[in-house]
Amino acid sequence: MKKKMTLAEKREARWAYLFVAPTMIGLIVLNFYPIFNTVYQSFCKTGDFGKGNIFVGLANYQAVLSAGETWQSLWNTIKYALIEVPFGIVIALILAVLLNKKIGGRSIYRTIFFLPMVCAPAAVAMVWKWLYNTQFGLLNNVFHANISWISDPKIAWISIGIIGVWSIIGYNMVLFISGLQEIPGDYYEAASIDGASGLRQFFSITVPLLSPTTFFIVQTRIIGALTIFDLMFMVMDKTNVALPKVQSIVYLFYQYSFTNGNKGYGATIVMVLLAFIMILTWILQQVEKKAVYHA
Amino acid sequence: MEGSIARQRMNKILTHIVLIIMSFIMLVPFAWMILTALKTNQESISVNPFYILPHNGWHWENFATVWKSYNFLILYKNTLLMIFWRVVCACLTATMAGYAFGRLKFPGKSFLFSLVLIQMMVPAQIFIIPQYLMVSNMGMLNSMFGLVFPGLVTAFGTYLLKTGYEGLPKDLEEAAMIDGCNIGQRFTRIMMPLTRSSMVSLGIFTAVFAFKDLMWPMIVCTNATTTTLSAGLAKMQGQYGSEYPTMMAAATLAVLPMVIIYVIFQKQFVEGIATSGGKL
Amino acid sequence: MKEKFGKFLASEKKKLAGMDRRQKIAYLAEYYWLWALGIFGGLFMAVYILWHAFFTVKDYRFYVLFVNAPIEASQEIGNRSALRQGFIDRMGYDLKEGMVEFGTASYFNAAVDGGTNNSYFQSFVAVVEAGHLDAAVMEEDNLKAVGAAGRFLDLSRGEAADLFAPYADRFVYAVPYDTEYSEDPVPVGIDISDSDLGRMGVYEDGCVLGIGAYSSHPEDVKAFLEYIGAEGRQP
Repeated sequence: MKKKMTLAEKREARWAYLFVAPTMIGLIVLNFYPIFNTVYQSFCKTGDFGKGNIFVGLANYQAVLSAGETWQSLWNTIKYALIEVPFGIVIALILAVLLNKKIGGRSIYRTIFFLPMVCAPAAVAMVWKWLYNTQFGLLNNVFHANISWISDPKIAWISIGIIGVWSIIGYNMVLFISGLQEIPGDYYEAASIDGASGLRQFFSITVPLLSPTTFFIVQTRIIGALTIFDLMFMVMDKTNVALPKVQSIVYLFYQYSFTNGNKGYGATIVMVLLAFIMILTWILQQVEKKAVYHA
Repeated sequence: MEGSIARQRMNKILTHIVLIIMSFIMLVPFAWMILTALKTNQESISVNPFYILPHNGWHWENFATVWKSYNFLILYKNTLLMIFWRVVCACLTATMAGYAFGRLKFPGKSFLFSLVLIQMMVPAQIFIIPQYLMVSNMGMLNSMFGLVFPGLVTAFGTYLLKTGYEGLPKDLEEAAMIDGCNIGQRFTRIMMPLTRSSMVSLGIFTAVFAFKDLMWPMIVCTNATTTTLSAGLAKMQGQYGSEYPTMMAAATLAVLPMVIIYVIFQKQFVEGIATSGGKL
Repeated sequence: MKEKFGKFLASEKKKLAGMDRRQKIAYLAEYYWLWALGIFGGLFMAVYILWHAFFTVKDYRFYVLFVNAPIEASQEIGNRSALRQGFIDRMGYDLKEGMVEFGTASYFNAAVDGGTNNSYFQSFVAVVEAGHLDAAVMEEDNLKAVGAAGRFLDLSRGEAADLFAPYADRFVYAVPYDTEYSEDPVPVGIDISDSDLGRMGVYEDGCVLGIGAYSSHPEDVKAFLEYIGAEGRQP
C-alpha cells in the first residue's frame, strides 16, 4: 500500500535527494565501504603472517560473546559514560547560560573555556598525573589523604571520568552557546514584562527551546563516551593494576586488531559495540519524539 | 527598585566568581604548557620538590630552538590550508544535507539518516587502512587533497546542522513559499543564513578535529613539505622524547593559530544574536 | 519535466534580457551562487581526481622504514640520503614508475606499550596491511613484539624460506599471538647489527630487519640486505 506522491511532494523529494547526495556518496565511499569490510572481517580469522582473511563463520562471535573481558570492558565503558555524559552536559549548560548573559569579559571567558580543546595532550596528561600523584600530588596534599587515585581499581574509573568531564566541557559549551544564540531574544523580553523570574525563564523558555540542542549533545556524547579510546592512557601506565577495570571496549578492539594482529576478533568486538549503541540510539530516538520540543 | 538593582549587581558578581573559578580550572593545563616550556629539563620532570614557576631562570631559548629546528611557516601554511578546505567542505555538504534531513520530506529519509548515525558509532580506527588505500590508489599521497580526503563529508556536521534547521520556526519558510520561492531559493536565501551559529560551531569543531588529527597527515604525507603542524609536532616528540620543555614550546607554537582562529570565529557567535534577533 | 525546464529557462532569459552586464552578474551571483559553486567544485574535483588517478606515480617500488631512528640520522638514511640514492642506482629503479621510500619518521616501541595510543604504530600497521611496506628496521625487542602479531613475513615458510636461507644464522624469533599458526617461535627478522648500516651507529643497541607480511618485493629486500653489507652464508 504505497501512497501516491503529489507533484509538490515529488518536487520536494527531488530537491532533498540532491541535497543529501554529496554527503551520502561521501559517507558510502569513505565510511561504509570500510564498515562493510569490518563486517566481513568479523566472520574471518586473521592471525596474519600474510595469510589474509580465512572465513570461519560465527566462531569469532562465539569467542567474543563468551569472553569475560568483553563484558568487563563494556561495563567499564558504560560506567565511564555514566560520569562523563550527565556531568559534562550539566556543567557546560550552566556555563553556557552564564556566558550568554550580557556580562563583561564574555569573549575572554569563552576563549578560556575553549583552550583545553586545543591544548597539547601531553600537557594535559602531565598536569593530571601530577594532580593524581599519590605522594606529591595536589589532591592528596590538600585533603591530607593518601588515596591512590589512578591505581586503585575502585577509584580509578572515577578519576578517569573526571578527566573526561573536564575535557568535554568546552566542546559541549560551544554547542550550547550556539543553541542559545538561536533562541529569539523577544521571548525573554515578553517573559520579563510578564514578570517571570530568571529561574522561571530558564525552565519555561530556555529548557524547551534548547531541547533539540540538548538532545543532540546527549546523543553525540553517549556515542562519543561509548567509543572512548585513549583517555586512559594519558595518565595510566601499561603496568597499572587498575587497567583491566577501566579499559574501554574500543581499547580491547585496538588490542586485538592492531597490537595482536587478530583483525577478525577485533572486528567482532566492533560489531558487538555497534549493536549495543544502536539499541541505545533507537531507545533515545523514541524518547526524542516525546521529550523534545519542536518549534 | 533599588533593591532589584542591588540584587542584579550581586548576581553579576556571583556569575563572575563562578566563571573565574571555572576559568582557573580550565586554564591550568594551558598555563602548565607555557610554564613548562620555560623550564629546564630537570625542573620539568621533578615532582618533589615541585616548582610551579621556572626556578632557574626563564628559558625563552626553548622556543627559539624549536622554531629553528622546524620550518614552522610551512607547517602553519599546510595546517591552515588543510583546516580551510575541511571547513569549507564540511560546511557546504553538511548544511545541504542538514537542511534536507531537518526540513524536507522524502522517502528513505530515516534510513539514510540512520546511516549518518552509524558512521559516528564505529571506532575511527577502522577507517584508516581502507582510506589510506583509496588515497594511494588515486595517486594522492603527499598532496593537499590527500590531507583533506577524510574530511570531505561529515556525519557529525550533518547531524548538527539537522538539529539547527529543525529548531527554526515553520512560518518563515511558509511565507517564502507563498512568495513563490522554490526550495533551492528558500534554502540559500532564508534558511541557511539563519543557522549561522550552528555553522560557526561546525566550523570550530571541524577545525579542532582537523588540527588534532595527527594520525592522518602522518600516514598520507611522508614528505616534509606537506606535513601539518600536529604531525610535525609528533615528529618533534620523537626527536626530543622526554625533553618536556622543548616539546611544550613546540606545542605552544602549534596551538597559537588555533586560538587565533577561535577568537575570530567566536566573534561570529555574537553577531549571530544580531541577525537572528533582528529577523524573528 | 523537460517542458518545465524550458519554460523556466525562457523566463530567466526574459529577466536577464532587461539588465546590463553588471546587473546580470549580480542577479546570477545572488540566485545561483550555490549552483555555480557546486558545478564548478564538482567539475574541478572530478578532473583533479582523474588527472591524479591516471598520471601520477602511485605504487611503491621499494619501501623501507627505519623505526626509532634519531632525527639527525635522517640525513644518513632518510629520503635525501646517499644511501637511498645508492640503492636506486644499484637496482636501476625508475622513479617515474614507482616510488622509493626510505622513511625515518616513525617512533614506537611495541614491546613497551603494544603501540597503544601511538599514531606512528597505527600508520605502520596501515602501510604493512596495504602491502606497501617491504622492510622495517628496528630494535630487537620491538621487532619481536611486532612480529608476534604477524606483521612480518615468516622466514621459515614458502618462498621466503628459500630466499632468506643464507641468513638463517641471524634469524630473530618470536612466538606468535596466534597459537593456531604455531606454538613454537617463528623467525620474523634478520639481525643486521654488524652490517654497514648497523655500524653507522643509528641504532646503539643493534638493529633487526623484518620483511613486511604483505610485501610484494621480498627479492628486493634481499638485494637491500646485500647492499647494506649484511653477509649471508650459503647453507
